[in-house]
Amino acid sequence: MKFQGRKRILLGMLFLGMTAPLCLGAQPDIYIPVISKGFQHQFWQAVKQGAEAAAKKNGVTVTFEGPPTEADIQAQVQMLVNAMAKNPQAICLAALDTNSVIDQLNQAAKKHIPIIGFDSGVPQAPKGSIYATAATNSYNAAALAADKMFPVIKDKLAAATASNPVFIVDFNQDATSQSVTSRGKGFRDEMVKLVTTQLKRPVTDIRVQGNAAYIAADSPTKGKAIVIDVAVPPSPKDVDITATAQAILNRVKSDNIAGVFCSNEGAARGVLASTNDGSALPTQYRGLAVIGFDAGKAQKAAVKNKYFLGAITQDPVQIGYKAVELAVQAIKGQKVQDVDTGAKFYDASNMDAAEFQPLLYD
Amino acid sequence: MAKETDHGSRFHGIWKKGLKGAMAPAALVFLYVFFGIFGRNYFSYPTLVNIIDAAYYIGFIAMGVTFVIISGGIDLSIGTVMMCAAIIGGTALKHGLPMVPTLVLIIAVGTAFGLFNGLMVSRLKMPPFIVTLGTMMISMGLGSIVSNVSSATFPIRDAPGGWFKSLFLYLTPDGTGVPTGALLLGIVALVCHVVLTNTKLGRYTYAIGSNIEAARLSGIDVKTWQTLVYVLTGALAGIGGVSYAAIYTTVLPAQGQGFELNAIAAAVIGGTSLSGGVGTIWGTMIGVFIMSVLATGLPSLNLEAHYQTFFTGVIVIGAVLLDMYRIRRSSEVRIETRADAYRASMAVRIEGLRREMAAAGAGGDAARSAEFRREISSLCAEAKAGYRKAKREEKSELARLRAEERASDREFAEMLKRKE
Repeated sequence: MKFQGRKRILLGMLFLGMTAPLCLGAQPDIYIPVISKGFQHQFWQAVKQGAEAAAKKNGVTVTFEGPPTEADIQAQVQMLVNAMAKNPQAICLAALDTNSVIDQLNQAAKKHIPIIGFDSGVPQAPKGSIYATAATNSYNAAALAADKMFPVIKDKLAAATASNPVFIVDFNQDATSQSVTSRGKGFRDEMVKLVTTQLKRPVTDIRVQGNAAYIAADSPTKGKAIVIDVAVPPSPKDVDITATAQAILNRVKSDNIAGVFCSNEGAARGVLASTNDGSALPTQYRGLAVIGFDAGKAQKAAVKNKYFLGAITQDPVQIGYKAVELAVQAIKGQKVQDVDTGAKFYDASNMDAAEFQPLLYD
Repeated sequence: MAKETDHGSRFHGIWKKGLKGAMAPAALVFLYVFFGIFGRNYFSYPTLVNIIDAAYYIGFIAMGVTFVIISGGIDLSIGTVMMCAAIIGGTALKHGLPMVPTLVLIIAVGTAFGLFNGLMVSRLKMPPFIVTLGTMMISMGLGSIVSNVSSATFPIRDAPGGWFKSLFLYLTPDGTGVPTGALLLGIVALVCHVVLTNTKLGRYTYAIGSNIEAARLSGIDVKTWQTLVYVLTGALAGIGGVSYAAIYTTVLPAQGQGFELNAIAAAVIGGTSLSGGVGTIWGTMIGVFIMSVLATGLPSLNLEAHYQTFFTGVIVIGAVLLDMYRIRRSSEVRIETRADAYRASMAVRIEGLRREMAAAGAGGDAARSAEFRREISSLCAEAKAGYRKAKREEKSELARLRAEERASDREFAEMLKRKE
């Protein structure tokens, strides 16, 4: 008697189990997994927010996941592999390590699953696997910094002469990372352009000096009046960055430095660390225009206190939004190309605005 | 009627004896079917390949740790040793070592760590928990030192030396994966199973784990065999390192913390007892695949990685609870009371009547068998009532005894007080 009751329950469960997929499977939806390089960090949460907004607008389903830290390659590969087994129509991916996912990229290419890169994308991916990438164009983002710094130091640059030259420091954490070098170059080129077009000074007045990786073949190297000095610490460790920042600051008076551009959060932290969290900037280094990049607690405080002129921030919400949008376009068979998700300048006056809240992480 | 009782008792027997044997595979099948029904595209070939792929590195170290746990020890270092071996191999590869010696080197590094653990535990009598905790940190540090804190990348498919990836996952020209590593995992599991069940090493592993002192007194060279168990575990961690490099290509320094816990969890789910002396390779492999099914199944329900950690935890606790319950049941000392004796004697009488009734039924005597049925049911009722009564008496007797004990305790305490 007891067995019959148990059997009935079992049968019921079986029946439920058989019918459930019918109800679930009834909606043929477009599914796009978004696999990022992180998850908990505010930056990634903002990317997620953007991805979900795009999903809602386009009527597709997305899932967002990322490994706990940027060292968890194995976890990310597992996520990608699991996502691919779900037969998605497209995948958005910010790979921690391209070599680890080459098999999966090739498989996706063979199965014609479009992969959209985002944030740093998937550098050196096998041909044909990445359809497009939604990322901040670092070069343009840094050019924005030059645009914002120029009006402030314009008068000093106009007055610069060969006997009394003015320095602008382009401070980069390293000379190897792609995003950092593009930023350094973007700032350099825009500054040269502004001096020649706005101030109408001849390009022969300008000199680009410092780290060799940042001196392009067409960069002016002979000028004497305006010097764009590219500073790179011996290693991207915090101590080395801080020491280099200190060395730059020591030259502010003697070399007549007008502005410093810190091309990432690390460089900005270096300047802040050698100026007592920035409080020494308005007192000891009056009139020095400093522009940072990205956010972080210390840098945000420096902007808020007006120690920094301001800083450039990427737009993670747009990164997520555009990535999913590109994926949807790729699924529809439209031709897609890389999208610059843009960058924004924030300073003490606008950083509390609602539009910046998701962008400025601690 | 007789048939059903028969079936019932046999079922009861299997239930009691094979609980550990049947529970884990049943859970595995249940989980697989569950995800197959509710997950997205879960009953598919690529998913099956993923399940097997995700089982490799945990599988190898889980087999190793099964040996250690059966021998009454624990190895916390397997995860980091595995990654240390892999990164040392990768660094050697970077400096121009060919592929085959590199693979040998990876396994050798694992084995060396195992030997170190074994010597420390068996000769210097250090607690395995402490020794392997130390080795865990040593291996993490060593990996970073040797690699100079940079990542090591193994050759990708089609690059020179990339053939070793095909040992674990062969890709057909149209991009379908063939989990060749399953064969390797199966062979290693079979070897481990044979070693554990059919060799001296296996028998002594159980003996040492059950009672190390008794094993020593019966003439087993405990030191040597204990060392060998750790060496074997280290070698398996090395093989795990090879599989990790093949599947995930890039190895970062100072990784692998937490893998050992997954491996231990897999062994425990598979019925290996942390108190030693109990466990099978077969069970551990089931445990590994349960975790692997969870790792691939939960994402198919669109649940993120942290849910996976959560549910693995739930399963581990469930498995250990089951394990403890089983041990308690098997080692319980049961005193046959009067009530039990009464019930047993009644059961014999009822059984006898039933047999007679069955005989009568077979003879076609309907009236007699009906009479028997009545008699049986009345006897059943009597047995029940009698048993209850006896049990009640027992309980009140027990309560009386307890009360007496307490009273005498109190008396004794008062006596002591008075003396003071």
